[in-house]
Amino acid sequence: METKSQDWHGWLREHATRLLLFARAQTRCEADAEDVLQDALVECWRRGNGHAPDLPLVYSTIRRRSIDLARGMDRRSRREEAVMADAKTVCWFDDTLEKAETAQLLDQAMKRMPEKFREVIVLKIWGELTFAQVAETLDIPMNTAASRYRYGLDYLKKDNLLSHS
Amino acid sequence: MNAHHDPEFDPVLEAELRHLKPLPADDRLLERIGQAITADTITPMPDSVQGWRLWLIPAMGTAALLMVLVFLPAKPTNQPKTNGSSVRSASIVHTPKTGEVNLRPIAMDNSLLGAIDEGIVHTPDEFPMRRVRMQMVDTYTWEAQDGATRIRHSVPREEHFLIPMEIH
Repeated sequence: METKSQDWHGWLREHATRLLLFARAQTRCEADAEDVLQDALVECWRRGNGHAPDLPLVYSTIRRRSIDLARGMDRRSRREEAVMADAKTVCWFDDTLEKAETAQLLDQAMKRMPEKFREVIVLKIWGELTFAQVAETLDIPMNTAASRYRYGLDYLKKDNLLSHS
Repeated sequence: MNAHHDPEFDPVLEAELRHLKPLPADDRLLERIGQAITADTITPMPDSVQGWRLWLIPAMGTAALLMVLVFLPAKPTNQPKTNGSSVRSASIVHTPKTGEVNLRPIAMDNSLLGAIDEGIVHTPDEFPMRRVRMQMVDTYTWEAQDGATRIRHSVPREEHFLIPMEIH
């Protein structure tokens, strides 16, 4: 059991950043993203009987948990102020590197982007999933996943986000 | 760059996006999740309990708790009758050493057991919707102040909702 636990901590350190980014893209504030990530990981841990779960399963669990959370009307109203506060302060990308300005622009563009494009971009680029895995995670056809990905890239280009565009 | 052999629509842009790293999860969050996982292993859910049996356990637990609450005050005791607080005394007859147990709520959890896709339905105005049935368990936990007593109450529930479908 101890070995499983150590494996899990290593797995968590390796994947937590990309999972948290997807949770941020699915929720409306940092606190909700952290709660959803924790709940999803505990659920996957329980179902996997202590073994590290497959990434697509964790992503889909995060998504289901986010939907569940969003349906809580009372919680929604309580979180409203927090959303407004941290939407401006928490940057989803590491802006301490040399491309700090681009990271800030990408952060703003991703937050403006329609959710159905954003979730595909996050899963494909930073989640490193295939289109087949993205489709399975979001419960959509693979062609739809690919077209939403293309529209998402177009959205970023129209936003004059990155240097080459 | 693309190890999955998926088509790349804009290799330059995609490479540049990959180069921008997400903000790392901080140690505080990792520690919190690790603690939650460790705590969860104290009361693991058995794998063999699936389907309808999963719903039976909280139902039986709730029924047992209700029976104790209903029948315990009516149980005859050898204690002399006193005025005022007699009913309350009877309810704590099983815990004479510790006296009154003050329970306070410490946790509430909503677990999503699964989502069942029930297929496509049409609204009266012929708009296609996907009907999904969500199965959940709400779990409430109370604990005595000394930490020696803990009661967990789980209630299964189902919710149905309709998701508008996108037509491509």
